[in-house]
Amino acid sequence: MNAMNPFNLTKANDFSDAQIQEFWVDIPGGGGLLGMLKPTSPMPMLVLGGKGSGKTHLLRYCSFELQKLKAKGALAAQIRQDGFIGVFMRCEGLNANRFSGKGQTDALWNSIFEYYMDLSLADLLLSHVAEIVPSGGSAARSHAAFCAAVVGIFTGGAVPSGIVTIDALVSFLRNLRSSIDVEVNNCAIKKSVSVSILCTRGRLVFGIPELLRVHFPALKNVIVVYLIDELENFSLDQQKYIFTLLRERRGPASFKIGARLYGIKTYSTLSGDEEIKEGSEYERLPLDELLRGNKKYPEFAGKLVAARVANILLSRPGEVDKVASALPAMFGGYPTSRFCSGQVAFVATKYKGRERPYFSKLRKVLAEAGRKPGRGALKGADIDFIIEALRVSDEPLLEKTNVYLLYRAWSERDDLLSAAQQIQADCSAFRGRAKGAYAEVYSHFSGDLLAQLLREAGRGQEYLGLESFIHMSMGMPRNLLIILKHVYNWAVFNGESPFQTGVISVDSQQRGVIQAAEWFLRDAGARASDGAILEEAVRRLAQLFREVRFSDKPTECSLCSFSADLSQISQQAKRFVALAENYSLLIRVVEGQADRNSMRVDGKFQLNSMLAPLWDLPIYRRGAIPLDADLVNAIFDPDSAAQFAARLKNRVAGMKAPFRSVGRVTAGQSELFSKHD
Amino acid sequence: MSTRDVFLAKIERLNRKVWEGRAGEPTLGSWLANFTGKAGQKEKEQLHALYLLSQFMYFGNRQMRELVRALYRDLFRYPIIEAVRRSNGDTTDVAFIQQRFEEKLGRARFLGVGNPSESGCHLLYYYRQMNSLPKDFFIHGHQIFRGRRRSRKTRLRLPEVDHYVFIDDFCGSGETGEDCANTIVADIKSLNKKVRVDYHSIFGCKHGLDRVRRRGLFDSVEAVVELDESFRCFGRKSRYFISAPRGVTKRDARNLCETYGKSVLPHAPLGFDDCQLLLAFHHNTPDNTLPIFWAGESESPTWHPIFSRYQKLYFSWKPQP
Repeated sequence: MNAMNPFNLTKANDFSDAQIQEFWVDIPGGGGLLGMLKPTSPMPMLVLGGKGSGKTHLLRYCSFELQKLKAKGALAAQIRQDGFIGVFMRCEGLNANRFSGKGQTDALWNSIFEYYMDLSLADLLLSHVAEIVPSGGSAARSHAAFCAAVVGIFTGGAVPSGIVTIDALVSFLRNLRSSIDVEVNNCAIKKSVSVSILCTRGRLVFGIPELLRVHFPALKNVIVVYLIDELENFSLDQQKYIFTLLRERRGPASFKIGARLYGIKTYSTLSGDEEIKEGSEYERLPLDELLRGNKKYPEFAGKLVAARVANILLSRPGEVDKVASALPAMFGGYPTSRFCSGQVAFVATKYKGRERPYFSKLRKVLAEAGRKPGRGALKGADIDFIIEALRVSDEPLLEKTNVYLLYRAWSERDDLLSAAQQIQADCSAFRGRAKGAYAEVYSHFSGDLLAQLLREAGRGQEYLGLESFIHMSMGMPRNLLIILKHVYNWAVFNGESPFQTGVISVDSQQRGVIQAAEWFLRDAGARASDGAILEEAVRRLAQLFREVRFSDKPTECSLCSFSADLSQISQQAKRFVALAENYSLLIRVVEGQADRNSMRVDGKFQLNSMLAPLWDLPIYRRGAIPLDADLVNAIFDPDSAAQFAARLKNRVAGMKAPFRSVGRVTAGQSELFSKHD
Repeated sequence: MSTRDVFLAKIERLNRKVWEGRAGEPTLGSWLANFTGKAGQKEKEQLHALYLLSQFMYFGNRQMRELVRALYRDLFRYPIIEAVRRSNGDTTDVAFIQQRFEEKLGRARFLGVGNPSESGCHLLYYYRQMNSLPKDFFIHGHQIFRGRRRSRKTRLRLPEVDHYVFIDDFCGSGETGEDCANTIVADIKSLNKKVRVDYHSIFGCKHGLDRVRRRGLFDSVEAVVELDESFRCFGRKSRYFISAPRGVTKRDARNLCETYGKSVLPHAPLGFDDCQLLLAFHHNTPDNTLPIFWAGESESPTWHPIFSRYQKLYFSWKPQP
């Protein structure tokens, strides 16, 4: 058994520094990830993104530890070349939830936390400086002067004298932190906390970078970038302090702060509760949104995969590019053909000597419709005539297209016998490469019709190939790695040698994708507050999409999106739509959807493609179904969920034969069959 | 996902996480191909086979080593410590308890049940290793006695030893344990009734352990994992069909196992002593497990096992002329 799944590690937190470097890939061409982060820019930045969008990897890649790895001994030169010192801190590491409760006031805890945060950042920065700036010899004097200046930031009698080395300074800071730890950790027992705050808020954070320039000329063009990750782990008041630091930023110091989409609890500051302003006081880097919209994302993602395969599996780190170019061919699939002949080849054998399922169904519904009173009698011969006209035995997907067009004609109350003849003629012309309405329908709906065909024949939907997996990741590289992790596991189980010899079978890809989808839904549901309710809402939405996709006459092609006037929906529904967006179950389509009947631009959301395999939905967005407020409420508002079944039935009634849509039986349908009555 | 896919997903995970990769392709495919529709519809047969496989218990190398640790700790060490404390006013004096335990340990010897080539003896190596025991504490059966066996001159070779522990990996029907009791244990007891003799097994079917207990020669008959009636796959109290998914029934599963079991092992289609177990170990699969899982070439030339059993061969080897 192969235990070397190169996609097992998917969280940057679990990587060693060397792995952060090994697995690092930037977006090809200009304006890559580092270009977006702008670590030398003094403008603070919020790096926002869904879980697994690569925030931590990006921030850690800019950290001092990685600068040190890249320096290969020439650290000071590397720092000068980079133009910054990356001080990386994970908010989780502070155990910030300690600074609350236990019978003490919020004001007291906030003061202690702010002081502790300043000491932590100063400790990290000075530890890095101690490594960058050589001590001893002629440097001793500047070190001593620097230390004296830093000590000067502190006030009060507890500051020791005679600190002349940075190491001693770091020890001093650590002692201060330790004494706070003791007080905070014992507060619940002692019922009191005694901490002397020896310096003013923010002075260490901004003062030390200024002093570095003064005392170490080699660092005069270097800025200090505080890379603070996982801000979502801080409370509202603690975030407020961070934003206050952003607003009060001065000198050669800046912040790049990573947080999940839902992680920002406030934008206000301690400066009279004013909010910091995007653009002038900070920039926003919506990482997954940018990656999703970046044309180079597929190439970037492919290299990300190749880096894993080359480094871990093949132990050939120098061959990332070579592996990247070979990757697409490592996934089994079907040869490209105009009518997906390879994918539907099974139809001829499976239904040899018996009616194909879509014709069986059509025959049944036509016969049933003909029996209804007032509908005229449709003879068996008529039905045979229709079905024969639609038959294209060697191309099942064209047969499906023909059946779809017949349903459409039926819903429009056309004469079905004439319609069938016309469809037959159009189909024949289309096979001869004629353009026109038939070609347009095929271009729009062939994906859905193929999905219907697979389903009708009792086969699973096929999400195959690296390109599909990259698209499904929706700008979140971890999603891609998770898919590949499962695909790899299945390939090994199936006795294959993934990424080494042969191709990864369709079966392994299919099963891996399903497992990844299940993980994604479970993971999001487990993390979100009201996760179970959210999961149910997503299930209802997916059910709607599925009902439409597998109806006789879907109104939208490649449906995995909806639009709605969100101002009309209930507060609960709004909350769950927002929650679904925050947990990346829904992806907001930035441009929205213009309402067909007004100038209004509605909110537009796509169900995350990671979830598509769970409901046999498409991964590529094309059509979007407009939903009224009642249906949105029935989907997202748990108080209205009981109405969902009825509203869904009503919504899709017009898409299913015999098309007695929206509560009214179509009159005069009997004339459809009049020619042969 | 279809029910078959759900089973396959579980099997893939079990194979990766627990089964040490033993049931992946092509082994799984070959095993499934055994079920050709003799007991009903082929798809239904394979669905039931996959269900039973998804319920299968397998103890890999790591788990066996941990169980060997538990075997010593729970069945040997702790009872002695409890006894020491009980007879000394529930003392909590760790040094005293340790000293008394070491004295007792020094007067104990460990042996494998059965032939030296069998799994009980194979286990001794891990037992010694995992529990950091000195090599001298392990002996062969013949080292217990001095002089010709069952004669007037027979003596216990190690008069200072007052505690023998027979180690086994699995007690199914209890036949092996009973044989051991009837031969070696009876002889020890006839020479010195005060010598304590224990039978410790990692796994044991309740009825098998009871059979050894009923023989009354061992002072203690214990297993780390005692398999009660609920582990009997098609028994009245079977745990395997309490929440079986739709389309899977105990009756169909039994029919499948009996039909194919009869063709591969006519005298025990549901496993030796009708134990009906779903159990295998890293080093072997007990013959008490359903034969459809382990039967191989020696049972049927066309049957492909999924958890092979390495059979004991009972014959006299003669050199080729």
